[in-house]
Amino acid sequence: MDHSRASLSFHRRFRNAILGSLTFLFFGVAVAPLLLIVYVAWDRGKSVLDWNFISTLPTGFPVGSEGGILNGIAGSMILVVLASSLSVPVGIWAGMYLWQEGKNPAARAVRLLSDLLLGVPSVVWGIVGFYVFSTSTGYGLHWGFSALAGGLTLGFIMIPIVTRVTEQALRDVPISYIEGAFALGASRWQTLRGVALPGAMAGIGTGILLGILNVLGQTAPLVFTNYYNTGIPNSLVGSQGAVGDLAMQIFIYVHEPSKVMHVKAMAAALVLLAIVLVIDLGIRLLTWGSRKIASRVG
Amino acid sequence: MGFPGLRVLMAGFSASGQFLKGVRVKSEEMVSGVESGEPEKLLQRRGPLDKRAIGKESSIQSDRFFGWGLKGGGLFILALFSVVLLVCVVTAWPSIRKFGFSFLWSQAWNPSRGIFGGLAYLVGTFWVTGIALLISIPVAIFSALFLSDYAPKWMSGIVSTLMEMLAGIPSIVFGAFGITFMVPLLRDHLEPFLANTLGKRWDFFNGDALGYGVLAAGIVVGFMIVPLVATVTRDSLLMVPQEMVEASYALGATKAETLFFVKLKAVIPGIVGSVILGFGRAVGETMAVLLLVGNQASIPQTIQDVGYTISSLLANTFTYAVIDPLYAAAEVELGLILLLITLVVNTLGRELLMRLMGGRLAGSVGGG
Repeated sequence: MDHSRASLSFHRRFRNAILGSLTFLFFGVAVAPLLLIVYVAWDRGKSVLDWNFISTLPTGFPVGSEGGILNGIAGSMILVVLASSLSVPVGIWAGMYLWQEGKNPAARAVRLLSDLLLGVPSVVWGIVGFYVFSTSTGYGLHWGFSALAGGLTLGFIMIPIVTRVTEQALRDVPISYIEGAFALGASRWQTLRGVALPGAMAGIGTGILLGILNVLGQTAPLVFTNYYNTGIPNSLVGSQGAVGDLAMQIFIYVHEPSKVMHVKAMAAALVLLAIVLVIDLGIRLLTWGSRKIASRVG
Repeated sequence: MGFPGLRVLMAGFSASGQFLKGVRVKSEEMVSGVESGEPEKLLQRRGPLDKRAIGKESSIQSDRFFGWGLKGGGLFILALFSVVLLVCVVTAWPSIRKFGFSFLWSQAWNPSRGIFGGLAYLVGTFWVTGIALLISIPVAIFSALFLSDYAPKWMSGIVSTLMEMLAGIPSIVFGAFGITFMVPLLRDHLEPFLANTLGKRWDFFNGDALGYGVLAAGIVVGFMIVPLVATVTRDSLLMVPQEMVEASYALGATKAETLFFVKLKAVIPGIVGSVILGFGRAVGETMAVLLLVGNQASIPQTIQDVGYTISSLLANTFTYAVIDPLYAAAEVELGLILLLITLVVNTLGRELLMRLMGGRLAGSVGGG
C-alpha cells in the first residue's frame, strides 16, 4: 500500500517496517529447525552412510558399532504392514460410517471420539497396548513383547487418522455424483462402491500415507509392546517375536555413551528422514490440488 | 447427511423419465467446474437401469443391512475409545484408591516402600510444556502472518510445504538432534549467557549450565509444535472477510496496523484454539523430552534445572514397574492424568476451531 506512505508519520512507517520484518524473522526461526536437523544429521552421519549400512545387520560390541541397520528397516516395514492391515480396513469402514450418517447425534459423538483418539498421547497408547497385547499376567492376549503386539498398537494409533481423512475425502466427492447414482436407481452400497469410493481414492490414499508417516516416527508405544531386536525374528508372536525398528534403534544408539554409536544414530536418522520425505512427497503428489486434508491431520 | 433425497429421487424416477433427465442435466452443470473424475463414466459403471435397485423389497432389505453394517465402523471407534479409558482406569485403580487426591500434591515417590505421589512429574510436565508454548506462540503467529499476508504466492506454497514436512519429522529425530546439537549449544553458550545477564537480577535464570534440562526439552518441543500452531492460525487468518481488511485500509491504516490490530484481533478464537491444540500435543510429547529433560524427579527451581515429565517417566520405567501392581498403578495413574488433560484440552480446542471455521467466518472446512 504505497499510496499514502508519504503522508504517514515516521512512527507509523517505522512500526510498519519493524512488524513486517519481524514476521519474516520469526518465520525464519520457524523453518530453520527443519533445515538444521537435516544438515546436522547429514554432517554427523554421512561418514558411515553407504549401501553396506542399509543392507547388513548390526554386529560388534556394543551391538551396532559395526554393521548396519537392516534389522531396523525390516522391522519398521513389518510394523507398518501390521499396523496398516488393522487400521486401513477399520479406518475406511468407520470413515464410510461417518460420511453416511453425517450430522446425526450418534455420528457426531463418534466423530468427536475419533478426533480425541487422534490426540491421545503415545505413552498412553503404549500402556493400552501393553495391557491388551503384551502383558503376561491378568487379562489380555499374552503375546509378549512382539511384533504383532507393537504393530497392532501402532494400528490403533493409525485408525483415527485413516477414519477422518476417509470421511473428508468422501465428502469432497461432489454431491451431484451421488445424486446422479441414486437417480439411476443405485442402492446405497452400489453408490458407495461405484461412485463415492473411486472418487475418494486419492484422498484415502493420502490418509493411509499420513498414518504410515505417523506410525514410522512412533517410538514410545514400542517401548511398551515390542522394544527391540538386533536380528530379524522368525515369528511375530511370543518371547522371540520382537522386531527391530528404525526409531527405536536411533533411541537406543543415542543412549549409548559412545561416539561411534552416535554417528550411527545420526546416519539411521538420515535414513528415517529420507523414508519420511519420500512418503511426504507421495502425499503431496496425491493431494496435488487439495492440500486441506494434509494440513488438518498432519 | 443420511441421504434424505433417496426416497424422493427414487419415487420421481419411477413416476416419469423426465425427472431423471432433469437430474442428469443438473449434475452435469454442477460438475463441470470440478476437474477430477468424469460423472459419465462413474455413473455408467453401475449400468443405467439396474434391475435389483428399483424399489424392490429385496433391495430395500439389503440397503438396510448395508446401513447396519456401516454402523460397525462407528462402533469400533467407540469400542477403541472405551478400551483406552477402561484399561487406564482399571489398572490405575489400586493407586487411585490408596492415595486419593494426595497423589496430586505429594512429591514422595518411593517404589520400595510403596508410597507414590506425582507432583514432581506433573510440575516437570508443565514446565516443559510452558517453555514450549512461550517459544512457539510468537514464532507461530508471526510466521502465520508472514505466510498469509507478506509472502509472495509462490513462496507461500513452498514454505507451507516445508512447514508440513517439519510436522512430519519423527519425535525421536528431534530428540537426537537435540542431544547432538542443542545440548552443547545450551551448555556452552546460551545457559551461561542467561545466568550471567538475567541471572544477575533474578535467581530464576541463575542455574547450573548442564545442557540437559527443562529448557532444552522445552525449546525442542516448542519447535515441534510450531508447524501445528502456525498452520491452524494461517488457516483461520485466511478466513477473515476481505471487507474487514479493505475497511481498515480505507481508514488509512498501514499494512502492519491492519494485520495486527484488525486481522489478528478477528482471529483470536482461532489462535486460542490452535494454541490449545499445540498444548495438547506438547504435553504428551515423549521421546524428545525423554532424551533431553535430564530425568531427575525434582521440581525445577531455575530455568536451567533438570526435571522429569510424566511421559518420559512412563517410557523410562514402566516396564520395570509392572512387576509391582501398586507401582504400575501409580504410573498408569500419571498416564491417566495425562490422558484426561489431553481429552479436555482437545475437546476445547476442537469446539473453538469448529465454531470459528464452521460458523461466523463460514467456509468449506468441516472442522477437525
